[in-house]
Amino acid sequence: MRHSLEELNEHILEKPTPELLFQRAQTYRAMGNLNNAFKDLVSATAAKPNNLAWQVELCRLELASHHPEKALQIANFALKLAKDRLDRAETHILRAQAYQASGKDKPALHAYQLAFKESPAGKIDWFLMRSECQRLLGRHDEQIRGLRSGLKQFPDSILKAQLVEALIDGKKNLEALKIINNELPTLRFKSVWLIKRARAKINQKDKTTAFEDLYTALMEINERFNPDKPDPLLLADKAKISLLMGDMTAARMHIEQLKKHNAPKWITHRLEQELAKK
Amino acid sequence: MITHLFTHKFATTLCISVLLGHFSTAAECIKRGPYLQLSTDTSVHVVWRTTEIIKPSVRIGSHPNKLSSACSCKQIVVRRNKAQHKSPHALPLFNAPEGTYQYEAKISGLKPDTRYYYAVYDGDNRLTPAETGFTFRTHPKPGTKRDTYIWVVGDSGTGNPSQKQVHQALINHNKKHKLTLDMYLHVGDMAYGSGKDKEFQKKFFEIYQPTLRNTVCWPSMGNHEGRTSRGKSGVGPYYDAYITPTKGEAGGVPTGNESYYSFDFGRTHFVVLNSHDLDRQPTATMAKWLREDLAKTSPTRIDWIIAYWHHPPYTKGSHDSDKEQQLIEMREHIMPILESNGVDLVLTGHSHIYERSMLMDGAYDTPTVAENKILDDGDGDEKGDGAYQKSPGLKPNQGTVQIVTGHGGTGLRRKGYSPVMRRSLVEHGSTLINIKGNELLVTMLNKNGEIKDKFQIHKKKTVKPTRIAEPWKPNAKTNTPKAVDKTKGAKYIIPKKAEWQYHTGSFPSPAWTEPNFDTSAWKTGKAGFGYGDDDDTTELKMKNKFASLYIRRNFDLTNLAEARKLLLSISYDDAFIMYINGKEAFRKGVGKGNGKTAGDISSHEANGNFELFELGSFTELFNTGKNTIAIEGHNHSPNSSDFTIHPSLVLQVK
Repeated sequence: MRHSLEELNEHILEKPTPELLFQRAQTYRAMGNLNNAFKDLVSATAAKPNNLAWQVELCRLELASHHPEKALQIANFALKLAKDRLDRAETHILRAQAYQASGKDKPALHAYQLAFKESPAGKIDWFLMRSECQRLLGRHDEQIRGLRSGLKQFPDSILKAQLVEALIDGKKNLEALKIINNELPTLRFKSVWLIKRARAKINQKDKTTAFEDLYTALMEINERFNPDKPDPLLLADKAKISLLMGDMTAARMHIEQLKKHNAPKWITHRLEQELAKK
Repeated sequence: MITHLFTHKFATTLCISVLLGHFSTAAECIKRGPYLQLSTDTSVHVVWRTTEIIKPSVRIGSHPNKLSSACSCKQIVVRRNKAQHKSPHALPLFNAPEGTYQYEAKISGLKPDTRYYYAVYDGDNRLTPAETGFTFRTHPKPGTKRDTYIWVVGDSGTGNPSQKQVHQALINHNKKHKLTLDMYLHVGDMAYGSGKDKEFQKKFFEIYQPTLRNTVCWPSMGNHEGRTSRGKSGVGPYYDAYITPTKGEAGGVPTGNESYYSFDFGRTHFVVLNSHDLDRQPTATMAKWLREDLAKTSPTRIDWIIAYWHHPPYTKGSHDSDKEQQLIEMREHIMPILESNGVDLVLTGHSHIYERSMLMDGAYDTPTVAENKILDDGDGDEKGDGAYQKSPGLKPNQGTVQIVTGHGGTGLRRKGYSPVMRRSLVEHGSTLINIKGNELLVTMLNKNGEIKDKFQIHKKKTVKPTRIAEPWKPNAKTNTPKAVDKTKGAKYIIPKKAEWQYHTGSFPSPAWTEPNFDTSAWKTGKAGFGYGDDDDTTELKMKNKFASLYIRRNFDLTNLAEARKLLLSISYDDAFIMYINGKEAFRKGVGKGNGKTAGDISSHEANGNFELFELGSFTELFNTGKNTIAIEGHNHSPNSSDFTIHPSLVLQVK
């Protein structure tokens, strides 16, 4: 049995149908070959512009290629093609992502809300993305409400972790500490949650126990840390620890390392914001 | 009392109360399954399909004929295609055949590590036969010590004879050794070409039914399933077929997503990822979940971590992990998370080959290098170089073994040798894992039922890993059992690298094997003949063009008594037929026909070995004086990565 791409190439050589081009575009995108994915998708959608799935794929490609304005145009066009609630919801999510990528958080949030209106059950990623948008806008109470609603649908650990962060940001420290203290005994590696606890403790002006947690977290991270190819979230945690302990030099160094290892902007941006506040 | 709850993650109560009639035979009724899904220590799911509505129920008991516990059918999940689907609380099927009813029954309240027999009913009419094959065993209680036996298959979904042989080899192996599977893991590409419903039906469910009815298949999505199924949305024939945990039902941390999940069995934690169509970045949701899941995997309950998905981080089989984005990302982004959390074994497919690494850690570069990334470069076999050693528990960065097991049925290929691999075998088969306390044993069972690779990981004592600066290097000659020349000291009638007349590119006349055949138009060259693997003296441009080669040579026998002591010593990949003086003597790997009509060609790796075949039983074919030996060599496929025919004729001196 020959491979997907080779097979598709042969079929397309014989007869390049829009359907085959779309399939090949998906294969190229999965392989990270965005240029070729584009060429095929543009041809496919030119032949069949009213195919929603193809427009959605093209929009995702534009987002992946950091063209948010184009992505938004396509998402708005795709919305007209969406026939049922789930399709409309998915398209609103794409609009939201396009707005957010352009730094337009308010219209992004509006688009997220429209998505949830169409499909209240939502998906885990939707809850996480909306939560981040609400955090950027400083709407912590809304963020907390949204995440609680998400946890009802999906008892997902990432949503729980995000909820705790939102509670700490919203200064609801007692509730955050309750969840953290329930989680910690179940964990083999505790650094992520120790940092959360430290944040909550600092909010409560209890620097002593906060710093104890931060030292413990740092020891644990260092044991697992690969300096040649660092896990960006571990590195980000080291930066957070440095910031919380007031070591700005170390924090700056970790942020530079994150940039050097191509960490996404939302990690470095958030840390830089924290650094600027100090 | 056992209560039977028929629930599904998307369903609320849906009571079937209308009986539309019975089928004339039970066998006609069920179109798929029944098969087992998502099992825990106290529950299991039974799934099946019909094409007409029935009054469905499942009965269980301690004997096939003593199914005394009838279900109280209060809740049931029935799924249909979108057009016919009525329930707002269950997802419709994606594109099942018209008229399909898919029933998903969850049976709860069971005892841990207990065998039950089951049957599917339409009212009081039993639809499945009273056979011992319809059985399941619940998981042991989490954290309990329990020997575990696992079957792993990848890239199987062709429906072809090789796939069936691989399955049959497993069945025969289990029967011979009185083994019962605890689970069946599939690393993806189980339904070529696009994972459509009918492809799943023909190339997965119908073929593996004898196993699926008593063993849960825990799947991971391949790129071929990905043509019709979407990981983000959980929609498509792949997601119709399987029920996987989303809420941590079987151990592990909830994901809310069917395309990646984890589960526990005894003291082993399994992590299943979607390498195909989800974001593989270390900051994306799947990676974040992975960290959480592994952070919660406690060494007080778990001794082993096995992770699997479709796209291999290390391979040079039919794919190249140094060049392909999905493979690179799994290596660069996901492997660091796994290794820093103490993963022991990683299983993948996608590359149509069997490859197995040394004990390794930290090889995240592109291109992959092995220097200072290998912790043990031996063969890992306690009867060979010694089992791989790790400290007890789940210590970070103590080494992982990578297995590419994409050889379950589809066409095989090798592009090269990954520097981290200890074995690279281009033959169909599957992988078997046995876990016994602090020992993990892995074997590769080929489609002929032969064990072609094995290694162990032991966690018996504390070890301090050291990195090998210049580890063992693989190539065509070194990667598997050493080439053994058993003809050392014997007398060669036709030596190795002798000149032969040869022909390829077309089928010769049937008389080509005859002593007097005119070979003036043929070429002359030194054995071995072939391409690929750097082991051929006469390189032939056969690849993608022609799959057979014809060679012949004359030799003298002083007397016929010598014929009884003759041996053919031959290195071959993949198959051949030998003729003596125009008559076929014997064949290896050519199932039928010859020349143009040759077929059923088996794969066979030369690996630099010369195999010996005694010719004493063909004495009547030989002459005193001049004799002609002719060999036709066949490749499994014209686009195979290599081909070799290197014969010699040996006279035993003792």
